Amino acid sequence: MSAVEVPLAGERKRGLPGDFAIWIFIFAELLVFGVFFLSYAFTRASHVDLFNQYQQHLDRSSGAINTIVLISSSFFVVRAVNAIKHGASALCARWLGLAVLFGGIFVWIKLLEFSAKYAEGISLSTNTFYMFYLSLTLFHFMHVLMGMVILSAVAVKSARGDYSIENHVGVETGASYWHMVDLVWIVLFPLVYVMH
Amino acid sequence: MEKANRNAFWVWLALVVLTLVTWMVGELGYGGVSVVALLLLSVSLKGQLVIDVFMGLAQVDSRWKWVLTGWLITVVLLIGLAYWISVRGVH
Repeated sequence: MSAVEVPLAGERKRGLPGDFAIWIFIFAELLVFGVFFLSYAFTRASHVDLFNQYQQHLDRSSGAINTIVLISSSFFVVRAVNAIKHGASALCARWLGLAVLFGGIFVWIKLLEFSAKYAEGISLSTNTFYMFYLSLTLFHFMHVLMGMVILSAVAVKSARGDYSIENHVGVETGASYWHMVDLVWIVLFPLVYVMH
Repeated sequence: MEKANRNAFWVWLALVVLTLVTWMVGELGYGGVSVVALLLLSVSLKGQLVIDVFMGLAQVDSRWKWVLTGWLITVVLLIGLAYWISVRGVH
């Protein structure tokens, strides 16, 4: 990681936060999720009754709790970035650790939700609604796991003092990815669990 | 930096409140074009708050940041179009 120019208070930053390579990855991921969301919405337009019927069987409370868990995790990541901008690498590591812990809570709740559906005998081939529900949420789930790995690696580096006020590109890179995971879920939850 | 943390806290609170409203709409079984429009407005607001404050792109001078806002607007508008088509198809 190369050193970065630290903007003065009130000064606008040039360029996106973190490594630009992660942004190419983020844009590609958003494109894929966008196509997935629109496929769901337009397929639903041809199967309104089916989608409305089976949407009622989803655990909306789990979905809402997971949204709050993910939003909170993103907030902790913001605190981590702000901490390292002050040179507080140990504090940054603690905030990142908390963010990973909340990522773990999201994963746990999602696994409970998946296992409940599995126990009901529901699979990708049950019907078109469940095909979308399972594939969309599983795809997002994989991104949460990947984000947790990235944030854990960044937290360990931060705890070792590898980041500073001048050089914290790695923290911003991991943070940007995690916020993308949050952003996607913010669209996914109302689309799949609520709108009818 | 205290100000940045305070701003992030208020955004977190707004996101939580909007999420609870969304959940309540689902629990009460509200649906239809106007409800979907309000939910999509909520999604747009929440998404833009994440982009501007959590990602910190409001403070960035880069054309690239408009890719995210463009993605959000495009996805929300097209989801709205799909729901509008579904209602026209039903009635």
